[in-house]
Amino acid sequence: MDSSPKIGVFLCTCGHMMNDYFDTRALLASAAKEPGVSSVDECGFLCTKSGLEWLKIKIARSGCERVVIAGCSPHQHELKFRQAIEEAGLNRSLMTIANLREGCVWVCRDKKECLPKAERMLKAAIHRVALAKPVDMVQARMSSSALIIGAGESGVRIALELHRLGIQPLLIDSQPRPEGEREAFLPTPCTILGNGGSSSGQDTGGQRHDFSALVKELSHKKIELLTSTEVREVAGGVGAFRVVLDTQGRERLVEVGSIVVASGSRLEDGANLAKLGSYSRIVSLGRLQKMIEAEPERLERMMITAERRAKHVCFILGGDGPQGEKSLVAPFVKRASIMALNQAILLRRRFKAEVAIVASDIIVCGTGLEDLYRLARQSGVLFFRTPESRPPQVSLEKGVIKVRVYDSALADCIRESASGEDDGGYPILIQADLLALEDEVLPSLGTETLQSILRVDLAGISSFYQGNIHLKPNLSNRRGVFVVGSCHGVEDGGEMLNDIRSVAMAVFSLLSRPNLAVEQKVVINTDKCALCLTCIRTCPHRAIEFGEVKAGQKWGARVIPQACQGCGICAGECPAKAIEMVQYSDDQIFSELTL
Amino acid sequence: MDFTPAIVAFCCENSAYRAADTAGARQEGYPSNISICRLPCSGKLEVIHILKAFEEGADGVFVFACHPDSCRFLLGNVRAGKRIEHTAALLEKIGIEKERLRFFYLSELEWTQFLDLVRQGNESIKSLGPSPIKVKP
Amino acid sequence: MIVAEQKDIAEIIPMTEGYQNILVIGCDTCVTVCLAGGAKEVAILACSLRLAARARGKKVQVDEISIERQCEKEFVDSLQSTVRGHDLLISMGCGIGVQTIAEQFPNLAVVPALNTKLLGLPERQGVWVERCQACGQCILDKTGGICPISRCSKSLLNGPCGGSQNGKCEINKEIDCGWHLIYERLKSLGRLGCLEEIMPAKDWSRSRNGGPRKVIREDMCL
Repeated sequence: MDSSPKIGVFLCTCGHMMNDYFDTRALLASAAKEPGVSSVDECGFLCTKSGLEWLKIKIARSGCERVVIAGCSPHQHELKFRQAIEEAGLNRSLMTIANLREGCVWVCRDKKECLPKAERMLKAAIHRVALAKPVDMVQARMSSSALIIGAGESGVRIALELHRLGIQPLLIDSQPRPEGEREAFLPTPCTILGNGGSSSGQDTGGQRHDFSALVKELSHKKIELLTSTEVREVAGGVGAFRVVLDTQGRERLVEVGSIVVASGSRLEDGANLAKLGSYSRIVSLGRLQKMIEAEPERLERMMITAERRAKHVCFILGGDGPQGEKSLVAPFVKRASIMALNQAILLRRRFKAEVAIVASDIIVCGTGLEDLYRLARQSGVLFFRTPESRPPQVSLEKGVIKVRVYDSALADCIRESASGEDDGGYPILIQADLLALEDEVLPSLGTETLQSILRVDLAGISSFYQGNIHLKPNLSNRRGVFVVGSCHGVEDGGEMLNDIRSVAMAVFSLLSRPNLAVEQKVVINTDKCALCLTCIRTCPHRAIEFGEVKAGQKWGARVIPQACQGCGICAGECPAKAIEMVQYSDDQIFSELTL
Repeated sequence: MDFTPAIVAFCCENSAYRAADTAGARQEGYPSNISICRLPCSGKLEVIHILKAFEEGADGVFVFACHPDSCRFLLGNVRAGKRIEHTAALLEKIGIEKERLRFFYLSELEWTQFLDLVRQGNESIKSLGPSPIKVKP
Repeated sequence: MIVAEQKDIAEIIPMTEGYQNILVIGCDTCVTVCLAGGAKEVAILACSLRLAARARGKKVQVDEISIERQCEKEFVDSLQSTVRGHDLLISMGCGIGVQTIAEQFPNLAVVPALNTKLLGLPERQGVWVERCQACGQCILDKTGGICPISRCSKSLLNGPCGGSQNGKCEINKEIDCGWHLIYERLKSLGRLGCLEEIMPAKDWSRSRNGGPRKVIREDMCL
């Protein structure tokens, strides 16, 4: 029936620029000879408003059923043209663009080459469009609710934010009560400066005295919070995830439009701490922070050793830090830098201690951080920079912590005035009463199980997917599953708030409409499907699931159109050739290969 | 003997296709005998597409994928890489030099590399001569 | 599921020597699921053979088709009109498929494109492991659902041999000791007592040792 659809070929000469390269009439004449071509025409500016109107009129008049547009790259105006042909009454996929501008006239060195190449490209496009199939639009129901996993600070905050935007949040936590402590995030510099009495700012991090107020706000707003609850199973896709929750053995099925992971992180002693940490005067940055806030008297006692009156504190960051290479990763260096600077200033001011920071790298990028560094210097904190190849050496000698340091900047001047005593290449000796070392930020316990249930991927330094240049940091590989807070990286209070707002906006923009019109980009022919599960296993976005295709019928694989992102990996893997990408069918690809 | 090889370049629309566009827009020029075939992801490329290209008379096939760890679809480029390796071995046994199939990682911004790769690739296919499929009757 | 793997193309090409009209036949069941002989692989093999012939200066016609199950005469019979004009059939089915086709088309040469490997399951995408050897006398009830015939390298019936170390088999450190698995499984079921029962020597005549086997279900026979 569809044997020879009428094809209209429209050449856009890009403001008659193409006329300089080849005879457009000759090109169109050769195109007109191709089977199925019913009309050919050219236009100066197809991408303009009047050009698009012209296109619509031409399509209507010529009665063509398929459209080839020869002009610039599809990356320029493809959407615009698809919309136009849709308005002209054709299905949006019944169009192919021949990229004559970026792909031909601007490529050929010799103008004589242009016409034959353009002819070849146009012919391929005509053959391709002849095989085009209409793409179905599906109305996907989007439930305006979100499941938030983890009632730490980021989880509670995003629940409130989503509630404000009209999304119904359901907050769950595996623990019996919400805990703000779970987030290993950073004190904001303004908080520290505020503590120092110089400036005041919005208190977002570091201090958790307002966490209980946040939790109270949850109940005011009637936001449901399920404690001692874990996720057992997740099916479906964005807009309609079917999640089985388990509250101490009682199962409950909920349907949510989106899932936000806010599972937080935990702190562990790094390798260095594990080696030396049994000595009571060697502590982690996290431990020191708590002691400054909550146990100042104890800290005071710890810093005073019998022999000496001055209190000496030394920080070692990076290089020889917790996990060798890991401590060189920027977010961790930044976390250690901020923690140490903050604590150093407080130790100077409140405890009148002598403070030295030995580091291979310090990162102070971020609002207020330069100030923090300057403040530390002004208050008399000493900084030593060690090359990564010569990390500081720590030893315990008769209850005294000795840190031997090679500073790359000071090395030469010290060498000259050296007393001749053998220092083993580490000329600076710091005798410390208290030594603070980096600790490790790790994903919360149970994160791995959660990932396998959610079917999102592990990646790099952070526990959830992040870092791919094509993906934004809050996205996971599964559309509709977002990641927020310290479970995907270390951040300070301000960064966390930004993080929360951007995820909240992303959830909102996804779920704000009850229905979402999506293209059915991939079609599975269930008659051919052997149910080998290859597509389900290889789909990077978990957009294919299996089950009864129609109630009571044989099982088959089916695509969740709103979760599908159109990569075609499933079609490439299917051993039964049962999966077809509507706009990239095998036949269409083959038609382009005719040389 | 001057020989112009027919070359198909499969390009991922998220990276190499855009790089090719930029290369075109800069009007630096690259061999016009290279036909670009746009794919949604290099992971969509199947063995049969490459074989068909040779059957249809290609002297060389280039495949461009996003750099490792930056596939928009996470693992399409990795799958493509493995598939190309498999196909190259297959071609060799069929009697087509495996050097006729080239695989490159490229990002959207690397248009100068795109130019270098297609120019060099074109020369290397030229030096291989016409595909054995075409030479014999 | 029957698991097969494709023969090296270098082994298949010589099989087609001297034939002009070749039909490659795929099977939509087990070998599609184990990614060895479905429609996709049929297309690749057919194209490879055409290219190989042309690279050698020859011209052959290679057609392709895939059928529901090569191990059923009725399905194979449906190929009657398709095979007409072909002088070589390449089966991408398991060994059963190749033989069914050979039986149904006695005047045509039939060659296999696959090596039939095992009865098993996919451990993960792209990896298949053996689980059954069709010994004809299942004892899984006594071994906690783990088969010592297929999972013990020696198919022992009464406990592991002396080569079992740290749960691994002596022939290869990658292979789990089948009997170790059985022990752990029975232990977790609280049924270690099962192991006290000595299994008598197995009647291997009901396996391959008794010659070609046959299953007859009298009530189903017409």
